[in-house]
Amino acid sequence: MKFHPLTMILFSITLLFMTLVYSHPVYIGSILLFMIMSICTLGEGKKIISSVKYGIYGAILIIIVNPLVYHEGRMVIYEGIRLPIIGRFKITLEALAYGGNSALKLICILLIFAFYGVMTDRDDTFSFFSKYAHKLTLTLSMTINMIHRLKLEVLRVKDVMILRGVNFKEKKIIKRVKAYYPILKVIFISSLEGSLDRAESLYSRGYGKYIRTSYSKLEMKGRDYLFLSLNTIVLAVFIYGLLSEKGLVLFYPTFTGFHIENLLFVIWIDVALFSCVLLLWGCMRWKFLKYKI
Amino acid sequence: MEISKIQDLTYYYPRKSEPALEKINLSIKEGEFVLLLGESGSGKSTLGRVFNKIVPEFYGGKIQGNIDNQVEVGMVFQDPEKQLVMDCVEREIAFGLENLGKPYEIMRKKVMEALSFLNIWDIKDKKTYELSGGQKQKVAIGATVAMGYRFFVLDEPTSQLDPVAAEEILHILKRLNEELGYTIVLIEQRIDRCFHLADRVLFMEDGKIAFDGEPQSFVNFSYENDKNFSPSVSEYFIRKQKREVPLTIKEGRKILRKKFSMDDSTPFTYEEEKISNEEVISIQNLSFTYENGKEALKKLNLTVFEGEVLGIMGENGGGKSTLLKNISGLVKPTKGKVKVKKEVGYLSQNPNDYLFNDTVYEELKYTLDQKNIKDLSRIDKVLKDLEIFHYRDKNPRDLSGGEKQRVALGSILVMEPEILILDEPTRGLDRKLKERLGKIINDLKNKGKTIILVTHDAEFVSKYCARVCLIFDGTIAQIGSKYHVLTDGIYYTTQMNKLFSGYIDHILTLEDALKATKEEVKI
Repeated sequence: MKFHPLTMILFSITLLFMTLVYSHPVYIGSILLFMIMSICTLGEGKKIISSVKYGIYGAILIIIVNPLVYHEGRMVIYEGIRLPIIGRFKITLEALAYGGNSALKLICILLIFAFYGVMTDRDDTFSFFSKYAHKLTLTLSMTINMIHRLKLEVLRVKDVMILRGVNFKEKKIIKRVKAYYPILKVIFISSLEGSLDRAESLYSRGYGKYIRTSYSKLEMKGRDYLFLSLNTIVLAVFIYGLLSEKGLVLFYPTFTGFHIENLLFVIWIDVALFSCVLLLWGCMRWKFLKYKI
Repeated sequence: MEISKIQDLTYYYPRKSEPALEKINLSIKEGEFVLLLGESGSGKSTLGRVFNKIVPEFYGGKIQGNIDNQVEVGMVFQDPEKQLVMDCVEREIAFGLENLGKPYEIMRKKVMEALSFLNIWDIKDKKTYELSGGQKQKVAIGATVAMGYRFFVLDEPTSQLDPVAAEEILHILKRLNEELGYTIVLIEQRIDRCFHLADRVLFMEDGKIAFDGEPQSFVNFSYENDKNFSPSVSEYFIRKQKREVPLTIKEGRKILRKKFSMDDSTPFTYEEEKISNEEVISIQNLSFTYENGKEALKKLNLTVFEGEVLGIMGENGGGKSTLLKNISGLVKPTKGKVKVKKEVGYLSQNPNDYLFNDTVYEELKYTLDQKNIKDLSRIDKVLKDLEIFHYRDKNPRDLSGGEKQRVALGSILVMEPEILILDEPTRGLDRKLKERLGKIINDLKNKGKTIILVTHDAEFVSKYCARVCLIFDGTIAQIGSKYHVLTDGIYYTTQMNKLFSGYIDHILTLEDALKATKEEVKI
């Protein structure tokens, strides 16, 4: 069950803006929760782990580095000796909270991309973009093909090198890097040689000779329009909230996000977002949404 | 009707002083099936590329003479991997049509027709990189068919494929020619499989057309000029001084039927090669399961003896590669025992995987350095044995396919392994290069090396192996003397065996056939 790329591009942009503009952790948490629920509803829970896997290191780094370099905030939880460049070693609760909030945003952004991937078909996205950017989409398509091929080639060449006596399990990092050098060189030379063959193939298939047309004829379906309507509602609530300064907080000198009005408004955002989850759930379960529109 | 005419064509690649094509005069008629033959480097591929003007428009260089094409020409290349650019099969087939600027409705119809003609509906939504080699080549042909071209040039389209996939591709070409009347120019090395399809044969030598005529006359030409480019069936009959030379097994058997009878078939008395009793590889109850749960080997038992040349044959995905990995120690068995008593050298299918140094000498020295072997005199010795000493200081990447293979082999032989595994060594080689490789194998055998040859090439196995092992679905289907394994089947056998089966049993090679019918000067 996939949506039109345009629908999802617009929705992802909305989510991205919300994540970047909101500074209240409860709001960010709501968006994060929405995305986790949506991806799980679509039965792609594993994608959450694979997408967040590498981002989590970045997130931890932000949580550690921010309080170390930024010393503003009233709630001092640790104060120590003076260090060169950094100054007095001081950790405040606000700086820690700000770092945590930024880490949450990072995870959120990664999940927006995963959410887009789950909601659309890659070929549809290519088709959609190929109408406007032929060369870019062709380059992307070839890159994906190539990455897959290179992966297999690396394994093959590695086997060959092992049998020629190369030790890839060297303990010293310099020796290990040296061991991998022939693989890189073989792959690099083969890729260069292969690029001429590919260019020749493209030429013989008329690439660049005429004005190109596009094979794709993507159509917006009923459920796309429904999703776009919900997107408009989410956007409207977001803009209204922004105009009345909802979801925006200060962390320094002290956290200002405990106003009840600010906390209550998140319910509207949640209602708008969770109606989207409901639609997705309906699309998965309800034949009318799944097949008829 | 003439659809392509080439007059006095001479072509030089950029920065080359020797012409790649010289004084070519050629005319192709509509609906012809032309087989373009010649040794590696004879100019066949360059001539093939002249038809759709890749030469000189893409390659540049100097050109003299006229090329007059009445129709657009589609081209299919050797390596299916490098032709496919899109992610999904359907979009790949539509890619050329998009480039031609066709409207969506026309593209839909053409894509649909190409998928139907090639019977590849089932892979329509598959990713191109998930396809097998044969499927990729079918998609490449489909993409050219969809573009609406009626004149096809195919540059060794089956050289990277296994025999089953190769047969399928040749069958498609036959249908394109016979059912749709398309003009086909096929550059091929598997002469046995495609010779009968041709209406006309072109033979190239040193950039010139040395022969242009009917397949029947080409057999005579090949025999008289000692070219060894005829199908083995024809080769047998022409050596028997037969006037009307058959091109297919069917025609050949028709002639033999007059002389021999199926009722009293005579066995050919062959000599079994003596094999030592000393085991160098002993495999007991070997099972191997990959991480994804695929059971590649199932309780396999195999013994390899010292100094023998063992051929391993079988379907792709049947477990051959996994067996080789177990023998060479790249993976460990899930269950069972693999005892390898001597050092193993392994030559993979693609020689390019070995070559990255600046000179051939350095390439061989690299292996010695990794193995901590100080005796550098081995390098020159191996280079001389493989007849590539004169390339010692050349960049291995600048050599031809067969030469590259010998350098890759050299980089293994320099370790002086007692067991040598060759994985699909004949892939993409012409007959002459195959014979050269065969000579190297025989030399190594005479030095006492044990050789395991994994290949689909029954002709090569029948010539150079003593025993053959057929692997099917992770187990051994049959193992034994080549005269048993390759003579009682219908698929894993040679052309000569197919020709004589039932008349004279146990014939495998042309030499066997000539020996068995020595008394019959004329059949």
